[in-house]
Amino acid sequence: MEFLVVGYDGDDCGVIIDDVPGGWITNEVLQLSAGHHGVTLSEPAGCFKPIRIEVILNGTTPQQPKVIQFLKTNDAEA
Amino acid sequence: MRRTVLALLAVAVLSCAPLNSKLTADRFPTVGGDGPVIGATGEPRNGYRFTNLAGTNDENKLFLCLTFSGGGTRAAALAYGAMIALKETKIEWPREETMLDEVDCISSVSGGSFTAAYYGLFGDQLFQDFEQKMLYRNVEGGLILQGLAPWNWPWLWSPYYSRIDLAAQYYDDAIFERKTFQSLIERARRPFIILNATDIGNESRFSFTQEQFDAIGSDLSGYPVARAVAASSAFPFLLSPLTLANYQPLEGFPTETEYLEAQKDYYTNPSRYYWGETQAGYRAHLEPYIHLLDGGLADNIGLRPIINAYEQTNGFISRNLPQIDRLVIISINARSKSEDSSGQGRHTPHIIPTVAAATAEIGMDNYSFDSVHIADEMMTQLEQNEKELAAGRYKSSIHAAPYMVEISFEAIADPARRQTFYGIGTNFGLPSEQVRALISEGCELLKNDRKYRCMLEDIEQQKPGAVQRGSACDDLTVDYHPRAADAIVCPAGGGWPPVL
Repeated sequence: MEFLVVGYDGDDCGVIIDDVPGGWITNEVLQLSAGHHGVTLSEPAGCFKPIRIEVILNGTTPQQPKVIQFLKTNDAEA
Repeated sequence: MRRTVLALLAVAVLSCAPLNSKLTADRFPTVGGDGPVIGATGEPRNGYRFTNLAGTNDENKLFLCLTFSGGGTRAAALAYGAMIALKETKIEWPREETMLDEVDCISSVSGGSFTAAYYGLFGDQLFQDFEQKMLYRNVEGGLILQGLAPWNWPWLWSPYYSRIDLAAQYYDDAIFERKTFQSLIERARRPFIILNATDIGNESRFSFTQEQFDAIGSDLSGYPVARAVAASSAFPFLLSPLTLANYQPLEGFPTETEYLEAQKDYYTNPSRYYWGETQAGYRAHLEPYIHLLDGGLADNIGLRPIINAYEQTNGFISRNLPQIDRLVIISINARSKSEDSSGQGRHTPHIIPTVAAATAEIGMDNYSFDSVHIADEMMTQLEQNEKELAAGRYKSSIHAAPYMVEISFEAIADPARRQTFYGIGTNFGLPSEQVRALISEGCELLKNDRKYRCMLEDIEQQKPGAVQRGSACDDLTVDYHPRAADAIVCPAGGGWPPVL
């Protein structure tokens, strides 16, 4: 298995992997199968950017996960 | 006479075995548009799927999956005996109940599918009438009589009706009370029953779940459970394959994303890649029909669906993992190890039965060994990962204590007794004394299994209101004495086999 941290500078929210909303949450280590995955957030579109991040998980460890970052947009703050 | 012959021929030409029905948009309506109804957390709310069976986060604390292997009545009886042990295991955490009440899923193959399907449909009625309805019944004898009955001959002359359809009809009438998957949906409770067959066109496992049927554009709900059990136990050469229609999936459903992502993983994750290829193959509607044989050809122990449920993004274990405190897999493996005598002579073994049986069984046994090994590694790795996550700088919700228990005749201490059990036939009609002994042995093997006892001891040491990490039972030289296991009362074996 591989390890991914989906960083988000807004409040913690759900993470959607490969269009599947599992029990995953931002800013903690997620355990996923090796390979290609499409990652997005359960927040309303327009509240974060980018809309989607494509990752390839390979060779990560629990202590050295791959880290990706979503940013809260001005739309969300408004 | 001529009229009679013509009438029989007409019946033969018109006779067709029932096919699975097409998935229609009205069966899976949308919220204000085309497509399936989606639940609050994004999962489809129709059909026989894990997410549609009652279960709260609290129910996931102790997550228990069983696998029942193939092996005819001997596998069905061994699994049934193990279920008696689970029913006899009284636990106080996470609630006051039995271990059987905590079972979340059962994945089964061939003979084991009879026990799994019956429990899924009828619950505790299993312990009242399954022995007489199935285990002590000479199923093979019944099938032969069905084949010899003249009124069945016209059906069997039809190219669209075969021995497997006759078997399915027999199981439907004699054992499963003509129940369909709709009955499993209406029970709306766990365990989730995964009956597994093998798709001989795709050379891969085919599970009777709505997720799998989504990929072939079909609605599983009206399909007879007996036909799924027949496909799961259609041993090559003895029974013919069972046929399903492969329809075009609904537009936009199911979502293709995971398949498409998986198809990029030839180098990074070959097993995920091949899974994606198989599922995409159904969606592409390459063949209008699917032919299914015994599930043992792809996985004779039923472990692969559980491994996938843990590894895949959409898996019902991976999706619930953050809520699981203890993840337990109990594999009931009735594999055979008969004393082969083909090496006694110089002559070439006969094609049938020696070579034919070896062709089917050697592959099944080797693949089963690999499946157990992979599951064992998976659970060991989970525990190791959790230790590292706990020591790491990032937060993690994964904290499940893993336990992998395998029950097989290998645990019988006395070599002669062990070999006697290994030598029991894998057909569907055993002498009653052997059935009784298998039920008793299934119960005793689980009751006395060190990993099972260690897991129960961990549970008994659970402090109220706090999650205490399990030992994961690394030290199996220790004799564990949990109260719950010591209190199990197994049925008597009836003195078989006699002491040699």
